[in-house]
Amino acid sequence: MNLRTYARWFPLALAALFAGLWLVPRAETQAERHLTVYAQSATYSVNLLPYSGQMYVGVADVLEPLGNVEAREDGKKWKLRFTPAGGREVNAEFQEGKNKGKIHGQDVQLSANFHMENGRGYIPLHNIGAMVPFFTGLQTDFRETPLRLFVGGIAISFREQVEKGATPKLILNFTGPVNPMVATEPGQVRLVFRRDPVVNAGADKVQTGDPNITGYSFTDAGGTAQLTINGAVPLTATFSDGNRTITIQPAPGVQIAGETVKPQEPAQQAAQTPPPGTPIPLTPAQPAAPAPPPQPRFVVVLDPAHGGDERGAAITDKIAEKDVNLAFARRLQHELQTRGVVATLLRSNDATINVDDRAVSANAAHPAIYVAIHAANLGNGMRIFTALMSPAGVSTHTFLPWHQAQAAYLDTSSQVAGSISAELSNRQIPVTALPAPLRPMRNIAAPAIAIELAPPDDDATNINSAEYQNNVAAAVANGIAAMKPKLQGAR
Amino acid sequence: MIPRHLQIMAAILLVLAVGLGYYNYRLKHRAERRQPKPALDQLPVAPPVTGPTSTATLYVADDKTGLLTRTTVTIPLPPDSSERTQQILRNLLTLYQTAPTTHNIGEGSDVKNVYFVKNGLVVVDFNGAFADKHPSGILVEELTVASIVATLRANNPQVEKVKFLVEGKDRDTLAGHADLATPLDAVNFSQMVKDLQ
Repeated sequence: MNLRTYARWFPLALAALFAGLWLVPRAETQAERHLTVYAQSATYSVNLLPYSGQMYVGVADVLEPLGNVEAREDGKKWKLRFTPAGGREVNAEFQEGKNKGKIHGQDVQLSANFHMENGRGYIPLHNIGAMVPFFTGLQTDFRETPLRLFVGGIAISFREQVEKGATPKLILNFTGPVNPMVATEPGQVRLVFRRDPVVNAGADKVQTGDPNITGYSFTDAGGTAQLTINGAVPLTATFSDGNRTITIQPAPGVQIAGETVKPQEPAQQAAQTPPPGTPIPLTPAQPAAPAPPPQPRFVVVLDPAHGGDERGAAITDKIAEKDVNLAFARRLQHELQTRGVVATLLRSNDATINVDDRAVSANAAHPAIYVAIHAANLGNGMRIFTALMSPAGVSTHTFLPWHQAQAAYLDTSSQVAGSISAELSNRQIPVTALPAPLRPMRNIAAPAIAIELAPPDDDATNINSAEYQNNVAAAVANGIAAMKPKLQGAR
Repeated sequence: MIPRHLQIMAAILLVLAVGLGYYNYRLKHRAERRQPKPALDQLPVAPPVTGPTSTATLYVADDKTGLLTRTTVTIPLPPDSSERTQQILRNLLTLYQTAPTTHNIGEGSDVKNVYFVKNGLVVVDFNGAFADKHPSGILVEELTVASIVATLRANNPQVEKVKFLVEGKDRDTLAGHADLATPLDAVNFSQMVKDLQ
């Protein structure tokens, strides 16, 4: 090509480059947006859909964890039947391209037109706060800017108490138990509430008037609340009162502002520094009162397989495995929680997570049981898989090879699979239990199984039947709950 | 200056050339459209092998029952163990691609090479269609892998580990589920195959 040809193509190439640069960050920003929903039964995230210049949210996505949802497309109409746990059935109907709909026979007006995509119904995000009470009958607090939805007066507020003087403290009393991620940095402690419905009833920035713990600020954005406590000295956070109270104070050994260094008494010095040659006692001189042994947590980690770009099996042309996995995982989480078993989801939205990251997250949670959730259109009923590997020669007390981490737990995993199989058989649900070469199951250092949900009959679309999924989820939850005493004893 | 009659002739020839080119393109396109797609059982999955026939054992998967069935076939097999094993596996894959089949795999699936390595390790290299077109799901993928591993071990008892390659390269999973990243333990599979029978 000669110079003139280059010159002709240059503006086009430049335009393409600018278009690419403009689109890439835009796509990333849109992919990250999600609504966090806090309810009595679960805390979960729902992906938002940018459509027609504004954010939309899937109605079924929000309602599924709150009860039974049956949704179907009928031409341009989208019909929904929702039954909250222990509540009355609510029917709703919307139409593609119309901004009016009906919920329980009552006309509702949307701020923009209803939208259907892949058989799922979407309403403008702006309307979700007003819409949820129609279905659940519960009071709802929707905070649109930070993308947080509180269903049923679940919000946890807090008040602060400042103690100044020689041992300054900032005591934060919460109205419910909280479990934030604590990050300490020089002169700062950050409490990040990803799953707790923490809200602030007071000012967003507070000055304490103490020279050591100078103040704090509250922010909530992107579905997460955060408390940042600032100090002139390194700070630590301690939890008490069943995680309802967090006390922020200077780290031990730090000289606080206004404190004068007193010369230590000789006797005190002697007590702290043993003379040379004296053996250092291995037990404390004044033993503290024995702390009660910590109760091992019984947490079940539910891992809805695939997600994001990874669609998994095509159940039908319109139904992707990743969506069935997530919907079933939410039902199972609900069923487990009604049986007093704490269950967390490894993926609560349409995110892509690789198998190594899944294993790392699951192992970090130290679960009592790990359950990978899959779906397929082959056959009927449920399949339960344990890891296909040799059990011999691995101890739970040493470092475990990454690809053999499951080896020490194979027996217990088989017992869990057996317990669930028995419950499914009791309910006349076809079940097969097999070992299989699957990841990340072999990397899990805890009893681990994978379940594969198949349709109840020859019609693959019935895999999404709420009645069927609830029946299977109840059986699986029974099987897991039956293992709780045995596993807790072992732990 | 080019004479006018030559200019006209050149223009006519140019138009003719373009017209004929377009006509040729249309004819070729039409012929391609009319040509029937090769039937599944006509696909060149297993090229013919000449020579004496032998008996081979196949473990055939059944999607409906989720089980494996042990069966024997009498087919021409070459004397070399790698080529012989490749031929047996091709026979198994052909079975899955011939209607009516009991187990679905990707259309055009084939075994490219089989290598017997030391210490009981056998490396089987499949073509891209085997993995790219395979139905996705734990059970359906496991049935394929189990039937191949069991068939390999039934015909070569020295096989202890099986490594699957696709187009000569490592692959994490068959179609999103069955783990192919590490060599599969044929001994463990034998136990599982008993459960699947």
